[in-house]
Amino acid sequence: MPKGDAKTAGSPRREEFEALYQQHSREVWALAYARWTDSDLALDVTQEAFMRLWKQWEAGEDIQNPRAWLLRVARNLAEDYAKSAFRRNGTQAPELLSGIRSSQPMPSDDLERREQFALLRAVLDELAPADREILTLRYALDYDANTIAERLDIAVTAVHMRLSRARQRLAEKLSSHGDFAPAPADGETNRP
Amino acid sequence: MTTNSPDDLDRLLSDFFKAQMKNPWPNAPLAQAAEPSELATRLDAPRNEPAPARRDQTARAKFTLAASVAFLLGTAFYMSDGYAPAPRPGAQPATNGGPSLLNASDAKAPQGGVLDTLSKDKVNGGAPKVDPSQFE
Repeated sequence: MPKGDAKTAGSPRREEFEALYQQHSREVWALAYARWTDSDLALDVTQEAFMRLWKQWEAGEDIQNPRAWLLRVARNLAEDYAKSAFRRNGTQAPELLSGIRSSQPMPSDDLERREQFALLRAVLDELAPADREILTLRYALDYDANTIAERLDIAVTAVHMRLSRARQRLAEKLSSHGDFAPAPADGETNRP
Repeated sequence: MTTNSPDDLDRLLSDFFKAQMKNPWPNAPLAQAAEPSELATRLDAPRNEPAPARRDQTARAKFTLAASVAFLLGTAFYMSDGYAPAPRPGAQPATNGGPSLLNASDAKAPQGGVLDTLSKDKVNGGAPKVDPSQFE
């Protein structure tokens, strides 16, 4: 990319950036969310990763595979989160982050649902990161097995197996809280 | 809550993860943020992506290393007076009457001295008989 193109408002580069954001931001978010099960943090990481992509473009760097680059940066940011001041400071102006709506809108009277989700989040935290990742791709992004296999670079049969085991482990942990009785045998349902 | 079928778990998971995602999904960060200046970009270099190539610094470091080695070799050459080893003082007998080192095979005590007299007395089994006048 020639230097300076990224600075031009409404430039093709800006449009390409917007398209990349629409195409990959949820996946980047899912990756960060699977690491920390923190929705707001995952969104911070997502926006930071895209901001850095823009800076790279502005500096004239040629990024061959933006999706892979974004996922790598997001993964590093998520890993660095615990040992850095990124959470407190970041590189964006606070007023930008404060403009992001906090948590999901939830009716105040839906206490049971709140409790369900709190329990589910706690149980998800107990799972291995790989289990959380595949569950996030499946249920947050509605990816089918083929897409997950492509994204994780594994076989489709491996996706089914890992997904089934992750769900089974989740169900067992929920049942230990008395909230879920795992179905015998068949495990995974045949969702698309 | 009580969920007791895979479908219930599917539904619970789907609802949970969907609730975690912002709705509507936020716009791309640049739609809201002022674009960073080029200077700010360079000062605030991100540390999570591969480092850019730094040819200038690498070339400078190589040049400095080469200059240092050349200087070191030059200094050593100068101090050693070239590659030919200098003659060691005393390795050859002095021809001008100056001091010289003797070969080990040439070293011997002077005949008729005090040590020679002591040595003879000891061989003869007697007490050393030294003429004090020898020391005067």
